[in-house]
Amino acid sequence: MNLYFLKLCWKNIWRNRRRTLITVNAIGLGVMALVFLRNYYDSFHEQVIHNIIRYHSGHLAVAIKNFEKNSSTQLYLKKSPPIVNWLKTQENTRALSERVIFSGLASSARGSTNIMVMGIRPSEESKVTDFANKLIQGTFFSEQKDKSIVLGAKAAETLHAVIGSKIVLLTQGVDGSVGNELFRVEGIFETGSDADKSLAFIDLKEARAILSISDESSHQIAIVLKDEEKLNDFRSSFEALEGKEPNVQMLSWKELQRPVVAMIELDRAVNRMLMFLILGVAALGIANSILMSIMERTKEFGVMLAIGTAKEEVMKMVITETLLLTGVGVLLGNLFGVLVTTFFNQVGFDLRWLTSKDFVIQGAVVQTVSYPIVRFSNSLVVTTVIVILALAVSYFPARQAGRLTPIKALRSH
Amino acid sequence: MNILEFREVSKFYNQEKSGIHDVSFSVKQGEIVALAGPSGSGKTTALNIAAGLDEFCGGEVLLLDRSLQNLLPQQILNLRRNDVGFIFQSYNLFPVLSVLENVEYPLALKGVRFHERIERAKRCIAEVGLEGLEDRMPNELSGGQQQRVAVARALVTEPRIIFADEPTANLDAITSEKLLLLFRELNEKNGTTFIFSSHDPRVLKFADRVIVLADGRLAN
Repeated sequence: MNLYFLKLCWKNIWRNRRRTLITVNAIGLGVMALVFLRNYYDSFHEQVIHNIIRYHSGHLAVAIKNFEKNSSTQLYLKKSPPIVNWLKTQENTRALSERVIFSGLASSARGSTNIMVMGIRPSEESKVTDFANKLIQGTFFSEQKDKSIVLGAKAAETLHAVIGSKIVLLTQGVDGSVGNELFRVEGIFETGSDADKSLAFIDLKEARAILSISDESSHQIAIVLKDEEKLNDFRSSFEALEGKEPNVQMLSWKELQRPVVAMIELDRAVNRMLMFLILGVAALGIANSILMSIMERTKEFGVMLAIGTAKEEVMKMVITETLLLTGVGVLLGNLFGVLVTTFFNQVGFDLRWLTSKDFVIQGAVVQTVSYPIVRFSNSLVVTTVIVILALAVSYFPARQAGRLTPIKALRSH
Repeated sequence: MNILEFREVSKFYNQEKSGIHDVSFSVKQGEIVALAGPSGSGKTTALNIAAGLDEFCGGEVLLLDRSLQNLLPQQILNLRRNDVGFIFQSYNLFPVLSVLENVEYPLALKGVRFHERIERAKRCIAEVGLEGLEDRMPNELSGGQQQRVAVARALVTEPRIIFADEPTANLDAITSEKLLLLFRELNEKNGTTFIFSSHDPRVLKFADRVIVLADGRLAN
């Protein structure tokens, strides 16, 4: 199709300006909404993933098989130093934290509560998770005192504990013995998540002592990578590492947080469904516009056919008009979608008007405010879908126009 | 040399509406021929068949020495695109295109390059006396001017034969006369054959020859 016919098609779509503007607006609004929504959802999901990583296991966690399912204290790495040393030599390791994890009873003079205790090296843990930055009172083991404990705010409230309060931790050691120890509260953190009522940190050595496990043992080694894209390569290298204990495995955050992955997948599926719904409605608008335009121009098509235009050329013209109409809407929709995303990237898109609280997903807090980022892949997906839908809905009107005979078309009014 | 030949051509629509019956006539290169007759006499049917726009049931039509029933649809299309011009009763210009763009259309169909297309279209517009109105839209022109644009559009591919279905039906007497004089002028200058239909006795006198149809049959 040469420029002349492109110009003719362009002029044809504007012959009923109001109808074209309505259709272009419908396409543009749909595309804009979807481009923004997809950009927003992406940033929201990234925030969820980031927070899950920063409040839980990092990108990867090394543990004995099935520890992630039942958290049994019996499932511990007997010799973790070779693994820790290997991890430290890896270029992609940003930070790691060796952990001893157990459940127990925390008691103070005025109360008691079930609690999950994490034995950590504070300097390591603060590079893997954000708890050290969430203190509302005290410090995160910075006073180098023995037998210190850092508690969540709600647990502290249940125990009526303040900084300096005595807390007794009671649990069962791996050898069946009763392990108990007295700690003093050094810090209280508040994240807004479930961790506030059920998590406490103590020093790694003291946790090992309570559970009666050796100084080389731990339940989990959490790893944060420099480049998440190379996660699979990292795992492959680990799997190839020789001399590991049997049943040691490295799991990614996706395997450790399956409900979160499922939630994100569900979210994306709903988003895709929404996309087809919105663009489907826009496509119906396109179909209506093109059909009306063809019905109004039947005689004109007759003239075209009579003076030597081929049926295929008439069909091509109808399809080109559809694509031009769609193109204008898509262009405007993408432009405004990118502008809206950029605007909210600066000021933040806050869902607080829909929900009064931050979301807690798998124990990690996700704020209501997100800062969407422009992703051209989202524009590309939305554009591709609407163009395919437009082509599909233009096929029948185009075929109808192509089936006209000059005589019948010339006789129409 | 005959440019068009009808040999006992028949066309039936249905029992209520008849077309033409055993119509035979021929048109020579360079003639201006009028198909005359009252409404429903079969003028338009004969014209449409001659131009390859409509099918026929019996007989044979030779257009430019080619038998139409033996031509493939693509060959008929090429014939219409290259050798035949059309002028319609109600002008049928494309309303979204300017005068120049309307006249360009058949050349664009043939893939003629931009500069040549513009030059030829302007020449034709000048030839029909509309120089200076190239950028006007059809709705800015009078009926006579619009029909002249239609003539220019039909002429621009330099066809050997132009079919015009009641070209003066929507024009007043003076404008009709001017249009028919233009046909004559173009015929004398370029040797273009014109076949037009009309039932108006005032316009028939401009033809070299009049073929009269009545009830779908040749009357003279």
